[in-house]
Parts: sequence; structure tokens; C-alpha cells
Amino acid sequence: MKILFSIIIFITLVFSSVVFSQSSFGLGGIWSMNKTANTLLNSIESNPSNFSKLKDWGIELSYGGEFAKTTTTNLYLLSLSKRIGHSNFSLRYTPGYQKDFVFSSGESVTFNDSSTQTLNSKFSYKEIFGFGYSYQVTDKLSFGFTARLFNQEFNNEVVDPVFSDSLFFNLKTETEKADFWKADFGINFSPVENISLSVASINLIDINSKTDIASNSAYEIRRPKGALLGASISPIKQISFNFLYETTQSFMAGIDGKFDLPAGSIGFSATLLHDKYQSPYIAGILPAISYQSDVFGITLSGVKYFRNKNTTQSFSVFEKEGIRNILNNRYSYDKAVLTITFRLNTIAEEKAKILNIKMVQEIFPALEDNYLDKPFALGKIVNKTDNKIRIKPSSKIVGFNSDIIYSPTVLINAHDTVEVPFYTIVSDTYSNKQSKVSYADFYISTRNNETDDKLQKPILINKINAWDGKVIHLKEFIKKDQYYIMKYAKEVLSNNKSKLDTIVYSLSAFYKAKILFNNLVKKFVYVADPNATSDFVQFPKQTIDLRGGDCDDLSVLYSAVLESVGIQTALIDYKPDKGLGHVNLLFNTELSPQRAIWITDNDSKYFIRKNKRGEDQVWIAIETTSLTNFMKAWELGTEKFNNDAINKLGLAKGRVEIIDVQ
Amino acid sequence: MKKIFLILFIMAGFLPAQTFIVKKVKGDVKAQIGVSEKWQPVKKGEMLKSETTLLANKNSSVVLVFGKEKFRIKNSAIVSLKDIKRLTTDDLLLALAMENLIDVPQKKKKNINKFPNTAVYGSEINGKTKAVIDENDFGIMRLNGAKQLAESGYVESAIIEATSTYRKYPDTKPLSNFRIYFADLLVKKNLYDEALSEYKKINELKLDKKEKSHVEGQMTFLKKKLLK
Repeated sequence: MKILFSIIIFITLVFSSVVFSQSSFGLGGIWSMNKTANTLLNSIESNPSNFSKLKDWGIELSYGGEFAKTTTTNLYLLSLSKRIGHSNFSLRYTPGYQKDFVFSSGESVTFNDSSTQTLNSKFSYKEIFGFGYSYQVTDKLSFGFTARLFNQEFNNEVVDPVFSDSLFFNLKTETEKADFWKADFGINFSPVENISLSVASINLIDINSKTDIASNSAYEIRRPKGALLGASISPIKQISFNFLYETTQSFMAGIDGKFDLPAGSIGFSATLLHDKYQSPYIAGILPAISYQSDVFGITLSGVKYFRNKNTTQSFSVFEKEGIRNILNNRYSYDKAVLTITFRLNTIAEEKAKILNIKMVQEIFPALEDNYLDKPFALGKIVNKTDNKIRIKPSSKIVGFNSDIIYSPTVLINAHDTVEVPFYTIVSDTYSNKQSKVSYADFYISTRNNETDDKLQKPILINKINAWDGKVIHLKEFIKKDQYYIMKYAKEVLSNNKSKLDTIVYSLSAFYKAKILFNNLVKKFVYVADPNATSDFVQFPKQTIDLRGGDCDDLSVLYSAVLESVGIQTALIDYKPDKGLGHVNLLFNTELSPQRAIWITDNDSKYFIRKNKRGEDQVWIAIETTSLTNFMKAWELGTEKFNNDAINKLGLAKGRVEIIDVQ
Repeated sequence: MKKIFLILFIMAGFLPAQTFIVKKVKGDVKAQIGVSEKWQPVKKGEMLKSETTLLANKNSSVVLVFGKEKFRIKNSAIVSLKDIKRLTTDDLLLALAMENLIDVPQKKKKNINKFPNTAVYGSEINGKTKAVIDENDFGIMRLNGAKQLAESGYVESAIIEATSTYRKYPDTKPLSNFRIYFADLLVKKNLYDEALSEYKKINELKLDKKEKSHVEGQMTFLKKKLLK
């Protein structure tokens, strides 16, 4: 900031002693630098730093007319702009930037036929083309330069005496030409969102590329050096006040506005100009109205001078003052210009940006459902636009997801930052037996098939049997191998059909549970977790195949088996003071409390739980690690539950938790 | 020497679980130990652990001694010896809260419907043959035992035992005299919210005039208390 002000003060001091005419005049008026849609309309004249917020390609064509005694129309300008990364290039061809002066010398020649011809001089000033380059250092700071090629042609009719047998005079035109390049540098800076400042040179570099003038040098375009200082302030979002001051003591001051429409925006601009060499003090006004959409724009603009057009100027004034601007000088007429703009965006505009991604969960492939309603990552996303946008977050974990997984869309207000959840889906076929570090690619998009921003983060994918130690997540292991377990359980029950057929229907759940335990679980061996940690759980089929497991493996298996035949189960999570906890099981006998006596004479061996319909039912606790028989497992389960959950008030104190599987 | 050992035990935190000595037995008194299915006769001088449940049939009684205290179970009552202990009001509140925690979580209340029972019943062979003690009597005996706990000063344990009995023996729920007795205990413990909730349920039962008047009086009293 200090550097910028130092530059402004330096340039002002260097050039302020010289008085120049208005040179920053462009036919589009001046617009706030903050208004991205109208950026192309800031001509090189008022934008020597080539500042632009163009996203990709820009093409502009201006066609207009000058309202002199007769109206002449012309193609004023054709320009092409291109952004590559932080660099912006522009090129313009200006066939309409031309001013011709025809002077009568006052001398005349009388020919043999007594006719006379006045000798004239014609001075033509043209701007042929220009180009610019700018570099955007940050969102707030950019700098650049522009260079323009001018052509001057001075034609003077003269009478050339020819000496032969007789003296006669030959009328001819003497032509002198002078081309020159001029280049200027500038800086644009927006210290805060609603203020932008600019500083640029005027005629800093002036190179004569072709000079062939001897007698007409006095009529060249005056190109004194100077500086241009600009400021735009937006007190409200839609309106900006703009001011351009030249060290010539000339200035332009204007207002512009931009109003959003459902598709595009309407803008207006009105700029007053003061030129040292024109009168009155406010020499004219440049009105403009513009419609701009993302790809197309049309602008009607012009200049209306306030001076009396019938006053004449003597040649001596022209000789003394010359001109400093082809388009705008004391001899200029009112003009109207229609400008058509095309923006060809082959690069997707970044409407939203990922500021940060926070991984909130490791991936435990067995916990499928966990990632459907709990995000594995949270992203901070910012809306970079002036409008409310709808973003679609998505992610893909390399080596884990076969496709991109889309999370719910999120609405973000203009310039807001929100936290966006990313969910994932575990593939049914994922079966990696080793943990590995992979990468998650996060995407956000505001349109179909186009990504606004993406970010990659490392993520740990645990092995298929990994468990996060939360008993509630054992439910996910219970759901696995459903078909296999159902078949297995039905086979066991089928083998005991004769026994089950003699049992009263109300007792069938109890006896099925008993048969399944005695024919399945009791045949296994208890095997502590090899790593003495709680991070590995076997799926039910694995426990059957291995014929053993620890408390969580056996509880998972027994629960899966009972659930497969329609018996409700609940895991009991005995939380440890420190170290490892314990898990066993409750199941629903579906008996009413009055019928509890059918299965036991000891009322401490069952617990009454109200079901979802509000009916009391008898549940019993089973210690699945007791691989003796069902009755013993029931006794041990009861003792553990009575002691830890009931007598020690573990349920109320949160030391024991019942987790229903369904 | 024995005293020194006892002190050392206490200091080391190895004090054995509460032991009850059977001081006197009259009539038919049975014990069920831990998770055992069997009820066995109780004899004088027998040492019982706290996981024992004692049943004293009609016109029977048993006197227990533990430490310097005595406890008498009499006349159609069942008491689990683990309940003969003093609890704080906080413990009582936690135990009452636990009654709801044990239930299956109610996901959507509006889905709770009383569906008609479509179960097909077979011959209840096992049910008939296993019936040893009439469950209705068993429930009443549990409530009698809870009452005796309260009378001996174990009010918190008594309330917990009564609440548990209502759940395990739902036929005891309409027994208004017991319900009112234990609701009154809640009032005595200044648990007004819990007491009012219980009186509201009692008020829906069939009550005689005296009970109705008592329940309504208590409800009015509690509402005033809770308003303050």
C-alpha cells in the first residue's frame, strides 16, 4: 500500500508542472474496475495498464458515426483479448480512430483556361493498432502496459515551376509521413472490495519508427509526458463513482451502475469530461448503456460536446496547440458507437473454491452405513460470486471408490463460506485385508460436468476387518454374510425340527436361540484378539470358518444368527475404566412378563423391555464367550448384566449401553 | 489376632461381600442363590451371601443378622438380600431413570399401534409343567418384601424393588394399595415430579373412595409444590 502511494506521489510530482489536454478519453466512457462484466469497455485510453477480469477469450467490435455537417459511419474498433493464467493479452485494430484536417493555404493558381485552384493542405492522423499485456499478481493487484502505433500524413499542395521553352507551373502534392509508437505502464490496486485505484503513465515511451517530415513537424500529435490517476468507489454494490485525473489538470468523473438480471446484467454509465484545451469547463458528457451476459454484450455509448459547434478556429490556433488526442479534441464532433462484445469461455469459471478439507473419519470398510449419514470429511467452501450458488460436492477415494460419489448439494450465499459434508459409499466388493494410506480427491462443481475446484488429501483406509472400537458399529459386521448365515441357521434349526415341533409357539424364539447356541457357538473356542486390541472383528462367516473368536466376534456371530431367524438382539457394551471393554448380548424371547415363568423360576434372570409398540417383553442376557452350553451362557450373561448394568447403576451412569441391532 | 486381620482386610480393600447370618427361622422359608433355579430350605445359623433371595411363605418368618443390624422377612414376602442396603436419593433417581433406558428405543411415537395378536398358539405343555409358584402371588410377595424394606428404613431400595416388580409382574400394577404406599414414599423423599407421575397413573386405576380422595389430595399438594 505504501509503495503504491509512493509511486502515485512520485509520478504526480514529476509531471504535475506540465499542463496537457485530456488524453484518457475513450468512446465507452469509464467504468468501475470492479464491474467484471463491463471490463472490456475500458478502452486502452483510460486503462493503460490493460486491466481486465476476462476469463478466457474476448472479442469486441465497435461501429459508430460522427455527427458533423454530414454523418459519416465507420468501423471504429476491433479488438481481441485472451487470458492465459494470470496473464491477459489484448490486441486491437482501430480503423475508425482517424481525424483529417483540410486547410486552405490562401494561395491559388490560375490555369491557361483562366480557371483557378486554391492550394490545400490535408493532415491525417490515424491510430492503426495497439496491444497490451497485464499480469494479475493477486486478486487485488495487477500491472501491465499498452503500446499503440500511430500514423500521421501531411499532404501539401504546391505549385512547382517547370523551366523549359516556356515557364509553366505544375500542381503537385508533397507528402510527408511520420509513424510513432507510444507505450504506457500502469498499476491497478483494490485495497478493499469496494475501492479500486489505478495509476498509469501518459506517453512514457515515445518512439518514432518512421519519420519523414521536415516542414510539418509542428503539426505532429503533441505527446507530452504525464500521469493518470484513477479511483473507483462503490458505496453500494450496484453503484460506483469513478474519477480519472491527468496531471494535465484534465479529468473525467462519472457514475456507473450495474443491475443483475436473471440472465446477465444491465449497466449504465455517465461521464463528464474536462479538457484543458476545450471549452466550456465541462466539455462534454459520455453516456453509455450496456447489457452484458456471460457470453455476450451490447453497448450503446457516445459523446456529446457542450460547445457551440458554429464557432470557427483560425489555423494559427491549430498551429499553436495542435491536437493531443485523435478522438477527442476541440475539433471533434458528437459521436455514437454501438459496441458488441463476445466472451468465449473455454475455461470453466471458478465460482466456488475449496479453502480446506478436514478429514473427520478414517475409512473402516466394514462400517458401510456409517458413511451414508456421517461425513468422512468436511470442506470449507467459499462462494466467489456475487450471487447465491448451488454447489455439488463429490469425492473419490483412490483404490476404494470405483466411481465419483456425489454428496447432497449445498446452497451458498454470495461470498459466504460454509462447511460442506462429504459422504462416501463402501463398495460391496471391497475386501482389502491390509490397511493402506490412499488419497481422496474432493471436487466441487456449480454446473454439470465442470469442476470449479478440486483438492486431494491423504486418507487411511483400514483393512476390511478393522473396527473403530465403538460397539454400535458392530452392527455393521452383523449385517454381513446375511445369506450365508441365514442358510446356516436354518440348517441347524431344520436338524432340530422334531424338537421344535413339540414346543409351544410362544417359546419358539427362546428354544431356537438355545438350539442355535448349543449347535453353533458352543462348538467354538474363545480366542483373544491376537494383538490384544479392539481393532479387529471377524465377520460371522469368518468366525464359523475359523471356529473361534473373541467376545466381539462371538457376539457378532450369535447376533447375526439370531437376527437371521427373526429374533431381535441387542449388543451390551460394557465400557472399561481403562483398557479393553466387553461385549455380550441380549435377545428377545418375545414372551410377555406373565410368561417369563415358562423359562425360569428366577426372576433375576430376565429383564423387561418395552418394545416399539409399547408392549413389555422378556429379554435375556447371554455371555457369548461362555462356550459351554446355553444355560451356562445365560447364567453368566445374567450375572454380568445384573452386577454391572443394574446393581451398579451402569445403565444410568453410562458405563453400560444397550445397542439394539435393528 | 482376628481383629488385626479384619483391620488389615479393611485397609487392603478386601472386605468380603456382605454376609447375612440366619438368626431365626419360623415356618416355610426358602432361599434362591444367585441365578440358581432352585429354592432351598433355609436353616438357622446358615450364612447367606448378598446374591441370595429369601422367600417367607404365609405365617413364616426369618430374622437375619448382618453386622450390628437385624432384618426380618415375614408373612408372604420375598426379599433379595442385595436390596438390604442404604442408597442415596441420587442413586434412587438413577435407578428410576434406568427403567426407561432399558426399553427398546422408540423411533417414532406415532407409529406405536396396538396390533391385534395374530400369533398361533400350540398346546402349552411346557408352560403348565414348569409353573411352580403362581406368578401373581410371587409379585405380591415381592411387593410385601419391598414394603418390609421400607419399614426397616431402606426406603430407596424399597421404591426400586417395587418399580421393578410392577414391570416383571404386570398383574401387580392394578394393586392400588401398594401403588399408593410406594407413591407416598416418593413424596416423603421429596421426589415430587416422580410422585406426581405415579399418582397420575394410579388415578387411572379402580380406586375406592378413600384411595381416590387420598390420590387427588396428593396430586393437588404436589402440583402446588411443583408450581413454587
